[in-house]
Order: sequence, then C-alpha cells, then structure tokens
Amino acid sequence: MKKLLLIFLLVVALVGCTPANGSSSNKSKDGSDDNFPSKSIEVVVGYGPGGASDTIARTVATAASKYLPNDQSFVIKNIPGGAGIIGTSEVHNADPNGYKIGFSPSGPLTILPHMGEASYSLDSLGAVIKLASIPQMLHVKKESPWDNFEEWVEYVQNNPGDFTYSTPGVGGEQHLAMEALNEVLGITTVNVPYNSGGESSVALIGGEVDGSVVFPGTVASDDAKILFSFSGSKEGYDDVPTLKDLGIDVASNVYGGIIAPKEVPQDRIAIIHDAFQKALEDPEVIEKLEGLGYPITYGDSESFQSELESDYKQAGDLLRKLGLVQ
Amino acid sequence: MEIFNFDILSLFTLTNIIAIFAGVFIGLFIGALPGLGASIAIALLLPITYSMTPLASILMLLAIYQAGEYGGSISAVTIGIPGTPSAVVTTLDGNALAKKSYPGKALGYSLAASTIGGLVGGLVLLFLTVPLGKFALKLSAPEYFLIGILGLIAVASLSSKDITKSMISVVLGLMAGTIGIDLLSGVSRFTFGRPELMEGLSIVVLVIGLFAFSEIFSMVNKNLNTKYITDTKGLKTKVTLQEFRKVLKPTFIGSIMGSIIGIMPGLGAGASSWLSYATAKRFSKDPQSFGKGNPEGIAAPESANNATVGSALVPLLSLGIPGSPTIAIIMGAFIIHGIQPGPKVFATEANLVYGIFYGFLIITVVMYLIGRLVTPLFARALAFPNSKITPIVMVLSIVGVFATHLQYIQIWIMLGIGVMCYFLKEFDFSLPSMLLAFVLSPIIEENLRRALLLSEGSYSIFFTRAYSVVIILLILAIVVNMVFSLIKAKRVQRTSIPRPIS
Repeated sequence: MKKLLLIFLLVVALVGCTPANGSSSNKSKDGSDDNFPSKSIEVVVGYGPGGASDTIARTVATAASKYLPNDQSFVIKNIPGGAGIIGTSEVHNADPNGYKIGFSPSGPLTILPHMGEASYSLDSLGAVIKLASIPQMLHVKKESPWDNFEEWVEYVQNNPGDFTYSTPGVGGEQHLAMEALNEVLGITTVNVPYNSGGESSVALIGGEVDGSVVFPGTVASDDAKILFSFSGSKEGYDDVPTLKDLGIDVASNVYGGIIAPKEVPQDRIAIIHDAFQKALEDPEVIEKLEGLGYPITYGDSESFQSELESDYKQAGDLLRKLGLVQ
Repeated sequence: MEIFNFDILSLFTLTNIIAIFAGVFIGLFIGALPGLGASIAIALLLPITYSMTPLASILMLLAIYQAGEYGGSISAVTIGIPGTPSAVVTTLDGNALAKKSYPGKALGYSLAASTIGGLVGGLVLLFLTVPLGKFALKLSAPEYFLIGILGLIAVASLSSKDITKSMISVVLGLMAGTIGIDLLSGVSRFTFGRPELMEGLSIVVLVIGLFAFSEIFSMVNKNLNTKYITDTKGLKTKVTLQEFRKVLKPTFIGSIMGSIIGIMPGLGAGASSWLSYATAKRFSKDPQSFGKGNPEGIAAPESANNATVGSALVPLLSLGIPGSPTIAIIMGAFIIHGIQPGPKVFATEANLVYGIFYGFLIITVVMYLIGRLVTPLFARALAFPNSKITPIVMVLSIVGVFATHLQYIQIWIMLGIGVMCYFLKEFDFSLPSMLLAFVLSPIIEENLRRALLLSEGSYSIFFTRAYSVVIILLILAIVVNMVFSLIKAKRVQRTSIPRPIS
C-alpha cells in the first residue's frame, strides 16, 4: 500500500501537472473599451527589486501614476531571470491591450536577441518612451599614472594586451563599449568579467585590474577617477569628456525606457507615453534620479525605436567580430 | 570617536521598534517554513518598505534576515528539512538530537548559538567595518579560488563513511554548478535553450528539491503514521547554563568563522556554516558523535550563519558591494531611498549607519526573546504524524519555489531534482555534500579562470601572494592530517583483526 502511494507520488511529481504552463491565456475584454485605462497598468521589470532598472522604473512609474487618466496607476512587477530576457518575453507575450508593458534597459533589446535564448526580437516589441541613461565610464585608480585619455591611450598603444579592465560580464554593454573603442584605435585590452558592477568596481579598488568600465554610481569610493565616458553626449556629467569630445567617433549608449507589445493601439501608447513624459519633468523624479547618477534622457516613441534599432545593429556587428555569435 | 557619539535612545522610536519586532516575527516564521527562506521574505517585503523611513526599512529587512537564519534551523531540527540553505548542516545533528526525543533541547542550543553568533557579527560590524573592508579588498581571485578548495576539503573530511560515494555527490554538485551562462566566455552551458536556466540552477530550487522533496518521498515510503515524539516533555526550549558551557567552544569557533567568511563577498552563510561545522568537529573532544545528535554540531553552524548576517554588511557599508545575495536585496532599500551604500555613507548618512549598527544588536536580542516564546510552538510539529506533515511541507515547498521565481519550469526542475535525490538518498549518497559543492562550484571555477586570466596563464599567481600561500599551507596541513588519521585508522583496524594461526 505505502509502496503504491510512493510510486503514485513519484509519477505525479514527474508527469502530473503538465498543462500548468500551457495556454492559460486570460484574454480580457479590455480590447474594446475606449476609456483607457480602466484598471491599473502592470510595468514588468526583468530584474529583482533594488537594482538599477527597478530603481529607475519605480521612481518614474510612481510619479507617472499621477498623470494617468481615470485615477489609475502603474504597478511594478519584478520578473527577474535570464539576464532580463524573461521579463522582456513576458511583455512580448502579453495581450496587446496596453495593460501590461515593461521597463527595459537597452541590453535585453539590443544585445541579447543576438545570443539565441530570447524568444522575441526587437521587431516584435514597440518602443514607447526613453526615460534615462545609465552612462558607462572608464575608471582607473586614483594613484594610477594616467590622468587623462591621451596618457592612457599612449600607454595601451605601447603595451598591447597589458591593460586589464573589469566589467559585469562578457558580451555585456560595458565589454562591447570597450571593444568598439579597441577597434577604432587599433589597441588591445583585456576584459576581466565579474558577476556585477559592484564586484567589478571592487576589483578595481582592490588593484586586481587596471581599470573598470562601469556606471559611476556603482563605484562608491573616492579611490577611483574617471578618464572618459563611452556615452554619445555629456548627459549631466559635465567634467567627464566623452569620446566624441576627444575626437573619436565611437559612442556606446546604455539607457532604459518603456516598451510594449507591438500591436498595442497607438492612442493607448500615447496615453502611457504622455504620463511618463510628464513624470520626467516632475522635480521629485529629477532630484532622485540625478542624485543617483542616472541622467534623464527623454526620447519619444520613434526616436527611441530608431536608437534601439541602430544599437541593435552595432552590437550585432561587434558580437560577430568578437566571435561571440555566428 | 563617532561610534560613541551616537544617541542610542534615538533608535527607540515607535516605527523602529515596530519594524524590528515585525521583521523578527516574519523572519522567524518564514525561515521556519521549509522552502521559504529569508531572501524570499525580504524580496517580497522590500517594495512595502519603500514608504518607510530609511532606517526603519533597513532595520526591518535586517531583522527578517537575522531571524530567518535562526528560523531556518527550526524545520531543520524538527522535521529534518532545512528552512534555509545555510541550515543544511544543522539537519545533521539537530534532527538526530530531535529524534532522540529532545527537539526542545536541540532548538534551545540553536537559539542560544544563533544569538551569540548574531551578537558577535553585530560587534564586528560596529567596531571593525572600516578595517575589515580594507582587508577584504586585499583578497582577490587566487584567494577566493583557494578558499573554495578549502571548502571542498572540509566536505571530504566530514563524510568519512563512504569516500567514493561522497566524492560522487561532490562531483554531481560541482557539475550542477556549471549550468548557466559561463561568466568568462558568455557561452550558455546546459541550458537547453531555456532562458530560465541562463542564470544557473536556483539555490532555492535545489535546496527544496534536494531536502524537502526527497524527504517527503522517504516519509511516504516509511510509515506515514509515525510520530517522532510521543512525550511532550522533550518540547521545552530550555538549555541550562551548564549545558551551554559545553558548546561554548564550537559557538566561539562558529561566530569567528562566520564573521570572517561573511566579509568575503560571495561566499555566504552556506559556506560559513559548513566550514565551522568541520572545524568544530576537528577540535571537538568527541568527534565520533558528530552527525548523531551532538549539540556541538548544532552550535557551530548556527552561530556561524547568524554571525555572517552582520559581517555580510561590512563590505556593503565599507565598499559598496553586498556580501551575500540577501544583502544585495537589502542594498535595494538603500538605493530606493536615494542612498548609495559605500564608504561615503559614513560621512553623509552617519546617523543611518550607526543606527543600523546599534539597531542590529537590538534585533539580535529581540530575536532571542521572540525565539524563546515562539519556538516551542514550532517544536510541536514533531508531535504531528507524518501523514499531516507531508502534505503541508509539499504545498509550502511548491509555493516557495513559485513565489521566488514566478516560473512554472522551476517547480518542474525542483520535482525532477526531488525524485533523483530520493534515489540518491536511498543509496546513501550525501545530499549535503552535493549542495555545498554546488555552492562552491562557481566560486572555484570563476576565480581559477579569472586568476589565470590576470596572470596570463601562469600558475605562479597562487604562490607569489602572501594570503594565497597562507591558505595553501592551511590546505596542506589539513590534507596531511587527514591522510595520517586515515593511515592510523587502517592500522588500528588491521591490528584488531585476529590473525589466523597457521
């Protein structure tokens, strides 16, 4: 008897609830009401609470709720996993009624679709509004011999393959930004990957690597100095030269914004866009984001979409050159 | 000194007190439920704390973390299923002692050791954050690799029963740890094209599959009507001072080791509880009884995992990086309030930092008080027959896995692991060794390859750094010691066999 029960349980465990993740699509009748929004709008964040994406999304979405018609609000839903792919897939697979949208940094949209695990492509998602930048900069230790870009370039040109820099991962935005520069300058630098921006910056402060390409907010230390920014524009960091300022035609922007399933009706996209746009002008939002080092960089649906598309191409070319994808 | 200028009384506001009590209660409760650990509780409650003051919200989350680490031992002791990954070791002696009809005693040892460990971690945090933060910076890839190896040796030295089988467990664990994106090449390994596996097997899924489900299957296979306890006298959570004096040494070992390992980012409470268990066994007068209900085997890991909580805050506050995955979630509470943790917070947010330091000590005391009150209720779990325990544990485990990941596939993975591990368990393979190997696998692999990347392929990086050499010597000493005691044991065996007279 008990043997039977055991076998039964083992079998149930293995095959029992198969259709659990099957077609549980709960198509709501929201498609037809023209009083959008008539309920709260879910904003999917593909990372856990407390990270950069969550912080930006939560800060702006909280304020944006004030500007949403019908007293409705945005609700953040964290769906972490797969380096952001799982949250983005959730948005991709959502009913295109505007009640489930997402916040995503550029990486899951411009880099990860090249890698093969993502079930979506950039074409199958619609850009709604660009919200903020997460600028990446080359940091070196305060006592390092390089005080500016020129001195650093001179060193790496004379010592190819000697300069090591830490990044949060191979094939990430930071790695690709440096590789793009290597390509233009004809230099060789060595990427040493870590699990996070925080770990990368500690590797720099501890002297394990010579430099670090990270967002300056993660380097919570006075022991580092910034040589230059990989961004295309100053974005509020007035003291830091961009590569363009230095006469080099390379830029790698990292930024985040709101995305939605492709087929969401245009008028609904406009309502969501307008609420977020007003939030970006909210003094509280400005103070908080800039205090944490995230420059507000508004972009409307079209410009956000075309920026994503051109960055998608740039990332694809680089990844192929590096042999990270075929 | 800033530390002593802080007005401790300013901590005792109504919101802070409520936050601490609520946090301790939630942590104890959720930690005690098999399958649900402190990190889930913190992740779920983090958004709620956004509307609180920074100090109250961080104290509440720390209270959950601290009490959760103790709470994890409750189910480990009572039903042999660890509530948190770091309570895995506690099941060995805790559950054994409980089955001898002393669940209350076992929990009493755990609570006392947890409290002392927590206080030591808190004192380390209070007095040594700045110097220890600087020390942690000196350790880099080669040292992390060697510490990982040290951890594996600790497993090997523990499982003396069947070396071949425990080696197989270790290899299985190491292999499970390679699933996911390879950090150093960006290539996906064993993910079968599933994005859910890109970040590797989840520790929560593994712990629940490994311990909760395999245990459920064996409970079902044995007599479902078994009650472990028929005599309710054993439920009293009381340990006399005299009894506690006997476990003072392992508690001390656990507290110190837990504090040291906590400051090294990425190693975590799981590794610290193991290493201190192995160390306590080595220094024990009675190592033979480890695994059979020796209170020392409870005190060492439980003091270690609570000491790790406090010291895992050290790298967060001194360097701006979280010392454990759970602290990484708590870091979010700082950031959402517009505070970037790091050395600058000592200047900009001194009141917050010292509030956390002293608040942490208060949390530990509150944990002891609430623990004394609540634990006997949990200990009664053993008075239920297994037919009631199994369905409850099963539902909680599935809910826990789903709440952590919101992905159905994770439940499937957990069930698959559960079935596989049921058979491993039946064939006497060591599941705890498998888990520790899984935890250590990425630490060992990533840091070995990173060290070689930094040294351009030269192995000399492991011999030319002072800290590395110290760890290598330690490893050698342990290995030599092990080999000697093995030879000795063999010799004793040989001489004790009567020779046939020719």
